[in-house]
Amino acid sequence: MATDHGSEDNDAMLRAFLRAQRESVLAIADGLGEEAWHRSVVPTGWTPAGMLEHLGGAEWHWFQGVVAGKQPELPGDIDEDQPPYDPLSVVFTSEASSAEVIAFYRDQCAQSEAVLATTSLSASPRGKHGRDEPANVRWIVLHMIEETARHAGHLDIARELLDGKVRLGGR
Amino acid sequence: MLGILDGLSEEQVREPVLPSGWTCVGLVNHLAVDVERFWFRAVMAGDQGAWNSLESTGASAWDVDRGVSPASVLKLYEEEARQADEVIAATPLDAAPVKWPEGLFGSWRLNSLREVIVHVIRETACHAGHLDAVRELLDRRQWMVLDSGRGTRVEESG
Repeated sequence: MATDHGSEDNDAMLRAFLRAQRESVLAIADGLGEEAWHRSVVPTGWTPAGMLEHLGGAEWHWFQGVVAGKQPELPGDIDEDQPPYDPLSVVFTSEASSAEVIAFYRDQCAQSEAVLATTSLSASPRGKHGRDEPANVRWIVLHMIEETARHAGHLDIARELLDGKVRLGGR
Repeated sequence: MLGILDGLSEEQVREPVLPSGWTCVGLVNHLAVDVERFWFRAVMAGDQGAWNSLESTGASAWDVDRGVSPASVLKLYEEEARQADEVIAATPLDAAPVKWPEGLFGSWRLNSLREVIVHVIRETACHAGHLDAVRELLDRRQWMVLDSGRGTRVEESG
């Protein structure tokens, strides 16, 4: 018997996982001192503020750009985060305050949710990711769960090195 | 996940890099035992042998004896992933876990194989992020997530 991956319950489950993963990211950064948001603890120089801004840019890219097909033009100064990346030069930093990057990320997530509220996960994206055309919106939601979780891991390490706090991201 | 450790020495994968003290080899062993074996063979399939192995050791999977080689831990991870894939192949995505660890997670619960798979994807990705950052601290090379239409891959730079 074929499994219906596209049932409403299954898609609601996937979207709930994505929302939980975003909250995990915010929980890892919550309470970090302002100076620490802009301090890098790794050799390549990325900062928590830059990482959160990048995650907001990823929300915009995947849900506004790829899913909804809007032109890739972002508010704020994060155009460099747009694919295609140059892996030799991309370093996530931000001059914005922690309040600003948190607000930016939350706003981008809300805009992603607005797209998803009116888009079937079985639908084909209207835009492209570079030259690639993901098969459907469900693939993109799964990708964003994975990408957000991976960056949550990066932030976990930064947080521990910045102020010693561990295991803030929940399950 | 497996590619991130390529090129690190045995000393490096056994070196605690952070104050919390975990090691790269310990993290891979945790993924093999506490994630792949636990979620698929033990929880989803209810395999008593898997439960016995998890309950009998008493030691944390994060602590890998010096007598256990990093290569054998990587091999264990691949083997556990293979056995997990067997459980996945034999189980409908809507199936409920055969043996949920009552009490271990409070009221939190995963209700189907589909939910367990998504949970393991996110847990594995988060730990891959830990390894990315620790690897950067060990050898000063950047390991970052890049996007491609075929999935996420890791590139290094510098």
